[in-house]
Amino acid sequence: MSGDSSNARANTEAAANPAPAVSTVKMPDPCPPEDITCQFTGTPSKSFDGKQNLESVEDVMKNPDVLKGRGPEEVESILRGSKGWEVGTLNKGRSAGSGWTFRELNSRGTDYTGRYIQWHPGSSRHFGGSPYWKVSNGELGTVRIAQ
Amino acid sequence: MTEVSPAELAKFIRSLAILALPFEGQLAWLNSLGLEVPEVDELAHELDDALLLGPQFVRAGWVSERTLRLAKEVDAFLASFSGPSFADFWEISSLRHSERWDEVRRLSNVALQSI
Repeated sequence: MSGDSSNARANTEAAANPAPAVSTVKMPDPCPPEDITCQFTGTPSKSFDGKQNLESVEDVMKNPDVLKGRGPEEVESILRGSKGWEVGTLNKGRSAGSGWTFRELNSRGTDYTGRYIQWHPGSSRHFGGSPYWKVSNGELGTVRIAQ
Repeated sequence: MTEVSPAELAKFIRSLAILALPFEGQLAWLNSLGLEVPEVDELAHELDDALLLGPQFVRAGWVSERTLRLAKEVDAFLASFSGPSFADFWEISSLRHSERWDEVRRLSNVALQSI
């Protein structure tokens, strides 16, 4: 009898406090070419893999966080062809000759502007260092973010 | 007329000043970068990045040819110990104890005094 009453009480509490539903956030779907009724015309702020949208070097300059979760190969594949930007490697330190740099030249191609994107492999895992990005946006300063 | 920002000049002078600091000051700066571990390479990268704008600093009349040459001597010294085969040089323990890093500090001081 007491078991029945405790079960009934548990059921009542369960009804009053239902388990939180698992929320699913649906990303906007770009229009498939065959769907002429589709209204989506914007660019999702995040890709479907959860990374922030990255289409141009200015996206990085405005928000270096777009580099999070991306490796240098992926970023170079997106930014390759940016006019007035030069690809290279790190010149100093234990990582000299490796890493990845992307530097802006002025409109005449004669001088660097001070804006750049760099990928640093970090010190070896043995010492706990992890790869990171470094972005210098001219007058706004330099930020470093974990890959 | 120069296109380069005075903020870049500040980065150049700061990079030399940090290289001239005693170990404790350098470690404090490295820790302020927010990386998982202090990356000693950053000391050299800061000067390397700033020196790319060196000719523009001279053309703007902000830095003398002599200062630029002395800064390049620091950069060249760091380059001579760069690469995977000199990995030990870029460890915190080396930054603290190595006479080579003392030489980096001395050369950086000479460059700063020329400004």
